[in-house]
Amino acid sequence: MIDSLFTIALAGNANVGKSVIFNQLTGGNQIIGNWPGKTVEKAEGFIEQEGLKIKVVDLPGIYSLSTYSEEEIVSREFIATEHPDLVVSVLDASNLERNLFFLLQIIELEVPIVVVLNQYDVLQDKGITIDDKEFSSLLGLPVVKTIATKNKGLKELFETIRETLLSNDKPTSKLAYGKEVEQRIKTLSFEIASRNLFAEYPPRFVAIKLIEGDPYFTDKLNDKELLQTLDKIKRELKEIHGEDAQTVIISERYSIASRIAEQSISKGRGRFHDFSDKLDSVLLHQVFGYVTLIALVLFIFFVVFKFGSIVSEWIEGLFDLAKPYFMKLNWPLQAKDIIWNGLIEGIAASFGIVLPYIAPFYLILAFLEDSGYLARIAFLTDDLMHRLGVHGKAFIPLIESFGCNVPAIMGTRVMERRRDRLIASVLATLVPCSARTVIIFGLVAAFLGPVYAILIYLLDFLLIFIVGLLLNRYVKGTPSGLIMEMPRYHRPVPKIILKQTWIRLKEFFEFAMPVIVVANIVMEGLIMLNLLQPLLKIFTPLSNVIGLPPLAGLTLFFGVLRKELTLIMLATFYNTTNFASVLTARQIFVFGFVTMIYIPCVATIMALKREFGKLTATIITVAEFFGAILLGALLNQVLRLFMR
Amino acid sequence: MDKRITLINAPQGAKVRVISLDIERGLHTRHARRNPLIGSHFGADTGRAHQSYIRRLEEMGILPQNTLIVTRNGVIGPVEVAVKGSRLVIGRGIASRIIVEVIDD
Repeated sequence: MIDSLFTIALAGNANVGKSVIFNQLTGGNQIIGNWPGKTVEKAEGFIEQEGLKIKVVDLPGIYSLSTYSEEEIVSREFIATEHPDLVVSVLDASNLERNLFFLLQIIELEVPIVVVLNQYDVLQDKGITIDDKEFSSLLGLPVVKTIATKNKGLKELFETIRETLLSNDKPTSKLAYGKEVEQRIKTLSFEIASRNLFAEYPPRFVAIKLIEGDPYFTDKLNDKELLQTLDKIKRELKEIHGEDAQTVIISERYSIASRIAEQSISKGRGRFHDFSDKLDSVLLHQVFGYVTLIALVLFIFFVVFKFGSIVSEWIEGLFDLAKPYFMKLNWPLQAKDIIWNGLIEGIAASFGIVLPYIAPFYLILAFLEDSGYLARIAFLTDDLMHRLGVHGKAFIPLIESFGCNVPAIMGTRVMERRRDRLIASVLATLVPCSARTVIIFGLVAAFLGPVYAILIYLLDFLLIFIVGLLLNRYVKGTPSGLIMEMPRYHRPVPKIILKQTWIRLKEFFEFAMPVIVVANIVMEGLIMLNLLQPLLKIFTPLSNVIGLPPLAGLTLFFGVLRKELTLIMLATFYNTTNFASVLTARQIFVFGFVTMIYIPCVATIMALKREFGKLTATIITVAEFFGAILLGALLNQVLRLFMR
Repeated sequence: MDKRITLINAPQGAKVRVISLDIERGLHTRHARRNPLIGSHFGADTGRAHQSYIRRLEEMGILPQNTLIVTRNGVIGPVEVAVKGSRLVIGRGIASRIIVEVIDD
């Protein structure tokens, strides 16, 4: 009986079924968090079986161990510095070459590896077979065949993992490049090893990365002699092969991958146009593809808002029912007030206002993701997104913003580059979330009519477009393009969809709820301490600029803390729900517009801070706040010509 | 030389060989240089960005001398190619910078 804790890492490309294997191995035993200091998701689970306790770390789905994205950096750092006892490398059997390309880089990290050939049922459908013994011997590593979604091969996988962990003979592999490349790698590795540089990484790995021109390693190299040697090697390789050293290395890797794949695969009657292709001929059709997409988006809106408003009311109702009972408690009135209005209402707000909208959205999102349609959405919207300075992958976070901006900003992580994530997030904050939609409906639509409400939405979309164009032009960095693997369509598995939804909801709550609750308590405190009057004085000039009475202006400020209560606060301050009697038509319109475009709420600011840092978050918040005041003032002046 | 075109102009269904990933000209370098002061606050990518997307293309299998099949290329939308056993989607901007040669089969 072994009592010690082993650690294994799960690595592989996206879409290979790694998460399914992770779930099957760890059962319910999972912790989802973040890699410290990064915005990359970290999933950890445990296996406790047959006397073994194993910690399983699910690394992000990546294609390389270069410095292209944070996911790649985090993964290679983990393997190099934490020294997991084993890396389980999951390959998509029907996509061998590209998956091998990644495996070869893991091999370069010189860790014990077990290889998993997953999704081999797809291969069988295509009439192709892989000789796994040949494959295993070519790689020098143990290979296990699995069909994770059907729970096949997982027992064998666990057995292989167990055997490997307990044996003294660790399977590491070494695959050599072409002679002239290998020779130079050896020279450089020797120099690196003798100087003890980048000690956590194997010298051979560092040498290869330096020749590839990887910025992380290249930037840290100060040794002049070594830099000269490196330069010479790069020049020589360019002369010999006629391509940049980076391209040479990548080509070499693919050569090895091709060779191994060819020798292991026996092609049957492989079909080129399979089910996925047939479906795509409709769903990616130049006309019909967009029709389906628009239909889908409308459907999502309908479902989310219908479900959202019904459940929202229901939950609010519950809390309203509970309030009198709470107030009957024999506690000092002030304490009851602050606890109810601050703490409880804060919790009510998170559950009652936000959750009913984002829960159905997350569910649909998980379904789209698992089925493979999400990639098609990125494809269809890429051109449009490009005009806004991002690319296709930004569409989903932008749609998500209609429910709530916070998960949308977190959702921009699907894009690898910071610039793309930043632009998408800023645009997301300008998209009206459900709380703001409630205000537009309850104020503008109710008192001015639906046409004016639609007008505000159109102005907002125009603004988003203009801001996108400006950001695209002025934010430093080259506009990126979409480079994405198009996965096959996949029959969605309900268990996986539910699990994904739960994970996302949990993450949102752990982040947003404390923020909302604290904001509520703060606001309640301000009211109780009679700080309203002095605050009123501070905000009067701003209110005047946009033509609103001071109390309405103050409501806007509080809206940052508790957006969803904007209308209720307005009603409380003016002692009426007939807003038309205290605000003119013009004022209602301006109020609605400013609400739409100034920084949404504290939770959003916190989300921005987490993803981009304090400085950037502050700049965005301040810019949006004053931008909204400015545009509000402008709008006010323009409307003065038409409305009272 | 005469059969060389950019990927964005390759007809749907064509089999092409990659010639070059156009390292010389990065996308929109004019704009990046215009307002360095505003851009620098956000700490976004430096000029290395265009190199990194070329690297990304190469890592996905778009390498000089490799063969691709253009599986989807319409009037609007990105280009989809079959390479290394799976499908890759490439945005129009990038696709217009990849030089290929059509192979007659």
